[in-house]
Amino acid sequence: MRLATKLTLALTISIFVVVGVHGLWTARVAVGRMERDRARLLTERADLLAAAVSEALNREGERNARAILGRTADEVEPGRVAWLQATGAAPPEFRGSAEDWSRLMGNQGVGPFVDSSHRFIAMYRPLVRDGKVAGVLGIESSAQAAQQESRAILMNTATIALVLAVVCALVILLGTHLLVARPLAEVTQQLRRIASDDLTGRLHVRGADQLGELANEVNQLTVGLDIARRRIEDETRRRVAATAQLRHAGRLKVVGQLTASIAHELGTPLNVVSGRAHMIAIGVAKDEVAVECAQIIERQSARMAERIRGLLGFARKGVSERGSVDLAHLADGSLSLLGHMMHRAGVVPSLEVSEGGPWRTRGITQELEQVLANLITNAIQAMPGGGRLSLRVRPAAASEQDSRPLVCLEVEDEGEGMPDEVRARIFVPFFTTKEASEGTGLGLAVCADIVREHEGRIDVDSKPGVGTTFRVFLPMATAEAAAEATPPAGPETHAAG
Amino acid sequence: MIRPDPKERSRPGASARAARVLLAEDDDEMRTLLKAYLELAGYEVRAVGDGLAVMEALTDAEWAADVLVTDLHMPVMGGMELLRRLGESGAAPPTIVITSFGDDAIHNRARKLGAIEVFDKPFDSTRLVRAVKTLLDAG
Repeated sequence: MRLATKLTLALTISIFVVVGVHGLWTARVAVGRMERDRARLLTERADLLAAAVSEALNREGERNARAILGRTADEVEPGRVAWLQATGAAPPEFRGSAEDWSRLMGNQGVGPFVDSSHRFIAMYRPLVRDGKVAGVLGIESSAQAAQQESRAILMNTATIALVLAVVCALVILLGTHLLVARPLAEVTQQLRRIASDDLTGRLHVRGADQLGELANEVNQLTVGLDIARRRIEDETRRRVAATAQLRHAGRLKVVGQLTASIAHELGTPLNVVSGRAHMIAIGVAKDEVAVECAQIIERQSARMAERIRGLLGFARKGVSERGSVDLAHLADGSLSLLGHMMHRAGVVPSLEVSEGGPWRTRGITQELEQVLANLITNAIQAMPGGGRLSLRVRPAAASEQDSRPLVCLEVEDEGEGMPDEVRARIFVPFFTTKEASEGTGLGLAVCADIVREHEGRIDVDSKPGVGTTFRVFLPMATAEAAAEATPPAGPETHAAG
Repeated sequence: MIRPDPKERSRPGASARAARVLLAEDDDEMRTLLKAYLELAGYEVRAVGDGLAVMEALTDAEWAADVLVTDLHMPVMGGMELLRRLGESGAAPPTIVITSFGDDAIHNRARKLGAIEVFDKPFDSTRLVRAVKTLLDAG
């Protein structure tokens, strides 16, 4: 039910009740007054008539007295004047009680009697002959006039109530529509627009009443929300940019480590190349020896080119599209990328892939490669004296926290391990236990961020003096998802190119 | 840049033989290259692939090395470990270290352990030959 209807109904009912109660009361008062007037009139008449009839009875006998009564009665109250016999018991037409009758017999007048439905008033007077009650004079008067009056008053009241109600209803309906419903509908509409994220509109403020205030408040709310939203959008943009920069920084950190490693690695082949070239240049190597030197140069150049390609492949920003990522393939690539670094550090890697693969997830290859490279370089740094580094790719059992099928990428080292207080903070940005020149404290924070974005999680187990195991859990890509992500196989020549 | 000098072959020495250079390098191509350069300069070269082989070669009384040229990063026994052991034995020939990890810390450590010269890869192979010659002339 709409507000205006409710108001109208409430008001109409109130009017009906007030006017009705007033009408009933008025009618009741009027009827009471009329009855009192009539009773007084009736008393006077009864007294007069009883005196007259009593006198006639004493002077001219009962027959004449009855005749006078008959004549007078016709003038006074036709058909309503009666002569009751003065018997011991009250006759049935007597309106009063037995006591009243006894009182009449004791020469006392009684009345007025009003019947319960206010149809008549009755009055009784003793008729006295020679000091004895010879009969009873009864006069009845119809109360119809009072009833008609009462009905008229009630009717009148009802009419007034009806007219008032109709007028009120009209005024309320119109008033609420113009003054309340329309502005409220506008406010409601504006709030709906706000809810649906449209913050451009403003309300037209009419007047300084409560609704005007409301409109004003809603406008201020809209402006506030608009400003807040712009601020959030701006902040989000900046954060996204910062995150991207952070990731790139994390990536560059690995690139830096790789570059150092590769620079060392290139020393030997460069030495061979320049030495062999020099031999050809000065003519020490001739004929077949020169050819042999050139072949050596070619082989060494190829060796260097391969290393550099690997580094560039990791460092390039490139397109980061989501696709199906084979984790065993990823692990293999990372091991080969970091092979020399491990070799130098005396770290012996191993890769174990559970049967039943391929184990795939959906994600961005470059980012996952960054995570793995970070974990591997951390493991290398944790084993300054060398050791075993085990990589495992396996399906993970669904846990209570995670019912999805998962794949797990495990990186285990035999390094120094870390105490609990360090372990608790390793994913916090800028937390590092390394020298300033060695680490930024961003690597693992970025890793955790990337894994989170792949809807996975990263766990760590560590025992000081025994080693550390990082586990990256990622949602397993379904066969359909993997098929969808892999482009349809083309001719072999294309794939080879 | 110098050309390998054929006259080196007849260089007058304490024992009228060609000077002997013991070369330790794990990379085959690098080892072959340096051996060729040293041989071209007239030295007698024995080339091995790790530190332990150097220790064995030095026990050969028939073939006493005049100069040792060793890489640092090698399997079985690396150059640093080799230098340490030779230092302990006190019977090390003058030593030139070649390395691809050349930072100051490594240079200093190698020198502390007795290396007379440290070369960072990549280096000019003729410079190594010249350094060997300087060492032999000084000795």
